[in-house]
Amino acid sequence: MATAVKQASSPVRRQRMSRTALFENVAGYLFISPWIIGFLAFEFGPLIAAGYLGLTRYDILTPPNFVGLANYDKMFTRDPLFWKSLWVTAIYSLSTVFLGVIFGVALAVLLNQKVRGMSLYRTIYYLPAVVSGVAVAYMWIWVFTPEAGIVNYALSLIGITGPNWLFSTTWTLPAFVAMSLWAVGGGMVLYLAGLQGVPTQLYEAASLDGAGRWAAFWSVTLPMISPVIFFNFIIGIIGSFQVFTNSFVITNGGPANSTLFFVLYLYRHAFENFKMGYAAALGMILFIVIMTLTIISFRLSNRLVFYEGRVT
Amino acid sequence: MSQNASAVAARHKIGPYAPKRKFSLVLIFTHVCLFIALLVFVFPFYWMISSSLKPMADIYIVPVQFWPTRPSLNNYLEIAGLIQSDEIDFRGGISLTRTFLNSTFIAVVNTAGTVFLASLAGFAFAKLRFKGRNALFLSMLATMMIPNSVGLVPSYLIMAWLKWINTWYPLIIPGLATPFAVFWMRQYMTTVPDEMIEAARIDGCGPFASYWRVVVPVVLPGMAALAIFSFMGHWNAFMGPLIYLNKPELYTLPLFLAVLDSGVSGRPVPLHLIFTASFVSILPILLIFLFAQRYFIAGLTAGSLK
Repeated sequence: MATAVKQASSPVRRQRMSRTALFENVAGYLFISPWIIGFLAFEFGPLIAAGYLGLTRYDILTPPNFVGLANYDKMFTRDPLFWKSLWVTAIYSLSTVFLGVIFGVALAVLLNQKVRGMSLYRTIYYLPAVVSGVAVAYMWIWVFTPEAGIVNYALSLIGITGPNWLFSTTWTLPAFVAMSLWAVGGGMVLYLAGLQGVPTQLYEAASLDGAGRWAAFWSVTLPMISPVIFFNFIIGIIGSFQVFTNSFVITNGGPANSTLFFVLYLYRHAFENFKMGYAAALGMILFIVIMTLTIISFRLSNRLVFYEGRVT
Repeated sequence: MSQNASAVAARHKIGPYAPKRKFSLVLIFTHVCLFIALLVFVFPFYWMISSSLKPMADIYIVPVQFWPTRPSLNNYLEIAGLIQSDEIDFRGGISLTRTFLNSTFIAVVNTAGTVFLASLAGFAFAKLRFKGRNALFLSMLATMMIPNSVGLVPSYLIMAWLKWINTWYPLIIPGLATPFAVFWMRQYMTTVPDEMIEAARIDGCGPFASYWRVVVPVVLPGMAALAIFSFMGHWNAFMGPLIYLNKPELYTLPLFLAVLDSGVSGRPVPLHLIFTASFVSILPILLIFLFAQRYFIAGLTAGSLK
């Protein structure tokens, strides 16, 4: 690809194809213009604006008032809810992402055993990943209801009295993690595709070297699908840090702020208290946190992720 | 799909080694695990459907009534406004039918727009030679990491400045050419051989004609997968409608669901109707997925592994 571009811009080629090349340049920019416009107006613009607004006090009615780093100062020193929401979100995010990888890979490995009806299983496992939003949030309220809910009913069958999930400061967050794991099929199909792409020779070589199933899994399967795991990990971190609908509909941050997710906290400042400056500053913090986690993940991936054909 | 996969597996000799004995312990363990997982994934759906067929009183019965003893479609009729209801408040033209149509319109316009504009941009990134292409593509990849909620406040202010509050524009325009969609289509288009486009060029096709006549027919499965993605995303979207819409006649289906639980003051929350409306709202997604899953899962896995 890179060579193709170099060729196109080399002088000989440029002279000969100048009209076509010019035409292609114009067409290229025309075709990507919807993305460029959308990006500038609705992504990059807002990001820069958030950087500025974060330095102001702004209630929409009166013009923004520049206050320097006052918002950040307040956040770090006098706003326990800020730390609480960051903590809640981080715990939730790390638990869902790690457990999501474990369960996703486990299900994919099970499905990859050449079982009968594999595609039916795969379809059904994937179903929860296509539905989301308010309807599913309502479903969860009822699934986790103490007396009439099915989770506690299932627990009672094995002699456990289930907790009052959504009204207990201890159990709400685990319940939210469980909800996210219900949609683990989304990652699973990707792992499954990855597993199906692992060449059989590698397993044969491993078994010649005396590796059992477990050893083969650790030294062949996992390294071979590690790029897919990494992809899901990054997507998972970015997505789970922004969880909103479930907390808004199911608990509205409660009880006692135990599910006060970061974006819910941001939403409250922006659209309930109309503290636009403070909300924008919260947005910047979210940006920095997610960027930092992404960069750390990429750094670690050099050591942990195996890319086929790359000489190290 | 399974036929495809096994055919591919047979041809390339890929996949794990098959178990040597047919009924090994491992196989039994596998099936038990798969079946338990199946129950976990399916049961919430089943419960939603079964609850939507129950009258309100039966919903609260303990121990849980798995099979409705008095199944009826009354909830569906009530939620559609076909029979008199004193349990929900249809204020200001808000109704299931209306919000269903609103959601459909928004999702369909978005999907059509995204598939067209993103595939056009993806085509440019994959097959056209223009200055700065690689740099632009890399910067687009970088922006895929920017979380949407970061610019929430400024985006709202921009929409307010454009006088787009209480319109559907904020729900439609920004999502038309997202980096993800462009990237997705570009990955598909790179698999189309350059010779095909070169041949079309010699036949006198300009860039748009080679996009439309040569590339689009080849990447239709990728477009189908993107269409389903996009439809699902917009159908389920909640925060955008919540922020930008406060006129009931503009509400989308998720917003309608969200106001249902406030119900009519002085009466219990109409849980049976909430279940019914919830099921109605996920039904289109389930149907689309079940009918199109062949493209979808194939497209999904292909797209992510390229």
